Amino acid sequence: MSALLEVTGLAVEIGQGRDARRVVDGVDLRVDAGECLGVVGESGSGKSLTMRAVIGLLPRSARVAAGDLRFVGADGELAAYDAADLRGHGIAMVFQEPMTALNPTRRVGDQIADGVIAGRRERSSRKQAREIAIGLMTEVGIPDPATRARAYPHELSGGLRQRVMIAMALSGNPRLLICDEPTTALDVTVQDQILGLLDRLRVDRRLGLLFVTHDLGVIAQVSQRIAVMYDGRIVEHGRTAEVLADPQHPYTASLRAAAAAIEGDRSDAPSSPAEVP
Amino acid sequence: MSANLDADRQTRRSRPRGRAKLVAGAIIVGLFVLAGIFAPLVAPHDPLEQDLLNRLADPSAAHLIGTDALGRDTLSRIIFAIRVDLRVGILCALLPMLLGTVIGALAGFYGGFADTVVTRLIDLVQSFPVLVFFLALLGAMGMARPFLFLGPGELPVIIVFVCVGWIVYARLIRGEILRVRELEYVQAARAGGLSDRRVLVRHVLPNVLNQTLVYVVLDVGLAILALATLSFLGLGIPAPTPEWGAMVAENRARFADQWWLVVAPGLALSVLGVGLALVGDGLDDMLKQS
Repeated sequence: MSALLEVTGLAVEIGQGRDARRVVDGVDLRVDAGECLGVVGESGSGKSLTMRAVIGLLPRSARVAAGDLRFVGADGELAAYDAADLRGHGIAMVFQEPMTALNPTRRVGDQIADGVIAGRRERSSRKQAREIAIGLMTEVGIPDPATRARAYPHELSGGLRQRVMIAMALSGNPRLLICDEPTTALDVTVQDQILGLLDRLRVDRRLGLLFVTHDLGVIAQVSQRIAVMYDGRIVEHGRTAEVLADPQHPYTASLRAAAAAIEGDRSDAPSSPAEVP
Repeated sequence: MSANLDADRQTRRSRPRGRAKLVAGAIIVGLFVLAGIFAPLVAPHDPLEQDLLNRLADPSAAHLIGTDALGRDTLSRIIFAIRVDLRVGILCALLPMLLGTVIGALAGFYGGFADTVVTRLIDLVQSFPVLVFFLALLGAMGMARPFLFLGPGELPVIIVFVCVGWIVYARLIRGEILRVRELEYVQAARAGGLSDRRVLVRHVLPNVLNQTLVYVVLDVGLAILALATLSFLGLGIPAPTPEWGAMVAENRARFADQWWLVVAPGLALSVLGVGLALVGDGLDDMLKQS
């Protein structure tokens, strides 16, 4: 397989000097073209920071302390990269909450067109960029895209907003798409449509997907491989079906049991130390 | 019940209040601006023309606010003073705003070394005795002469204001940018490959400039007050150019007999100040609502 992204021994630290805390430690990841890697873990497990390290958008207080990040180049070989050069046309990102990830004061078509212009080597006119933006909106399944392009984010439904967000992420024609809980803010039926859309894009564009979520049901639906993160480390890694059927690590097992408990079978729910009276 | 009604009345009243303030302030400031621009047409006399046979005249049809110790028409001097005071006031607010916005934006957006330098510079300027700096400019460098379109004494005041005033804007913009740059849609724009400059111009600055606008308007009023104070102390605009603070100073010995010579320029200063404050306040209210 042709690898798009390879991460080895990634460590992320928060804070300076003696106060520095290692919140991601020794993470290895690999995503191939046309493949979806699911990263699961609870809040604070370091999965979001790992993604932000990959795309070079760590918050100010955090920094990459160790590890190699390599991305496929024009020659097909993996090489160390400067994230600022790759954002948009190499790596793009779909955020969790499209309402806050879209600028409320700008028309959605213009925001997609911004990315189109930024992602091109040659200069393209605003008008061309708008047309490409409308093409992208069609591709992500927005009905009547020419009209919707002139709408502001608050005028669209949650599902349409997330589609706009995806069109924006595709505007630079990236090879790897990081999806940070892209369906958590949506209701279930819309969630299903968005997952279907991402899966179709993966196949059509041979897009690599790095899909972060805490929802095992979602991960089972979209990913081929899965990496389970706990306390800043990857504790289990393998083919999705195998990991879910036969978890090796106790954390994965308890995660699966908890998910099963919510599905309805409460008999094997992990006992909670703090019972709600 | 009554508390409910009160709350209701308050929300209802607070809605048009921003606009009302803005309109009232704009009318006041607008009248001053027009009077200043058309001063030669509006003023009944030449502000510098002396009439030594008619010194310290009481208010009359010919001299509505009387004449001063040199027989100059007070009303005309007040009207011509608008030109000096507004010009200096506007430049003293606008130039520091431009400088401060650029510096603050660079520091806030790029952080790191640029931020450290700017923060230290702000500390430095703040610990500097402003008045000493001002006297040095004025005296040692002999800068009280006219310069370009500026009248005598205006340049050093403006230089001092620029050197000191940018701090407020740099701080404001830097702080706002630190807040805004962590907003998710700014991150999303960066994730989409937009260059730093484009993110700054498209997504960050429009967010930040509202507050700056309010500050600038309020600062014009403060700058005019400062100019009048300096002139009152004999450090600002030299005689015989009409300026409100200088007029108060020139005539303060006559306060017992010809009080209007002191009160009228002071009143002009206050009314313009109130007008500017109303505009700034009204803008603030309206921007907060939207």
